[in-house]
Amino acid sequence: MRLLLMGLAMSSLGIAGCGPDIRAICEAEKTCEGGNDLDVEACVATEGVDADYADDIGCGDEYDAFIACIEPYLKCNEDASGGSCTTSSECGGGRCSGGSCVYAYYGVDSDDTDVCEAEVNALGRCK
Amino acid sequence: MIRHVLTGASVFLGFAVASFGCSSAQSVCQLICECQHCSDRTEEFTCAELEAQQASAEAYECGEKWEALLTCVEEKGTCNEKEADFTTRESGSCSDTQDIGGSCSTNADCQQGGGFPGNVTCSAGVCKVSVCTGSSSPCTSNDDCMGQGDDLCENEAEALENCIDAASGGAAPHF
Repeated sequence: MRLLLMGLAMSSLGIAGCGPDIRAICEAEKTCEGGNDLDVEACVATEGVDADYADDIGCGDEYDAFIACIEPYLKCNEDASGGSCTTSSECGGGRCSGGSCVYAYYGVDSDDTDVCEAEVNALGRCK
Repeated sequence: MIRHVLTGASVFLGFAVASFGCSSAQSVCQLICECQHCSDRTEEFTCAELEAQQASAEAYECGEKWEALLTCVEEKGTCNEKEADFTTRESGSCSDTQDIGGSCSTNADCQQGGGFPGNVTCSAGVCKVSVCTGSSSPCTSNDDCMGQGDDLCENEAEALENCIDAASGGAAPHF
């Protein structure tokens, strides 16, 4: 099943073996935010069906373009906008730094939120 | 965790899964869409969301809990035809009241200004409006409280959530 989904995800990206590696993205998210192998499997499975769906509704190319565009911008970021704290145990999965809870998240940096706007719009129009 | 990046983007863009044959997820999404008069595209998306949740639950080895939840939704879900809303919540009861301020001696004193949704009455010198039990939604009859009672599938949803939480090493997605 996993291989099937991966295969579908990769083929939906057009260039099997050369397109975005969904598993690598899921692994990177685990490394950034914490998690285990089942989290990675769940991530891969979900993304596989997402890609399938895009294909089914005729938006596979737009989806592929979006993923290809966004992938280089994905990185491990920290959000320091959490509440005040004295120890990390008060931060529910985050860490306490400088009196505030800091949480790691894997995604696009807040300075890069406009990247891939064209791809996002194209995908939005397609759907 | 882990669903944030791509799925976050996917959900934002309205994407999820495809067709999986005649799964329980598909049966449920058809039920929902028959009730809610979905467009074809919305039905595809609704089914896709459920299929994505199923894929995730199975990856966490919680497929049995997922099936139990879907079976519950299928068996106990009802359609509020007035609102075109499919729900697993029981109909609530229009039997609570809430103070809306203003002193009064008769019900008529509470009608001034008019248009307040729900039954407005004068009780113990204070204007009150009838609301659905457990919520602050004004109502005039039990029909106004449909879908505002207990969730009949709460136990199954909680069992699934607990299963996924136990399997996940991070902040697993909650459905």
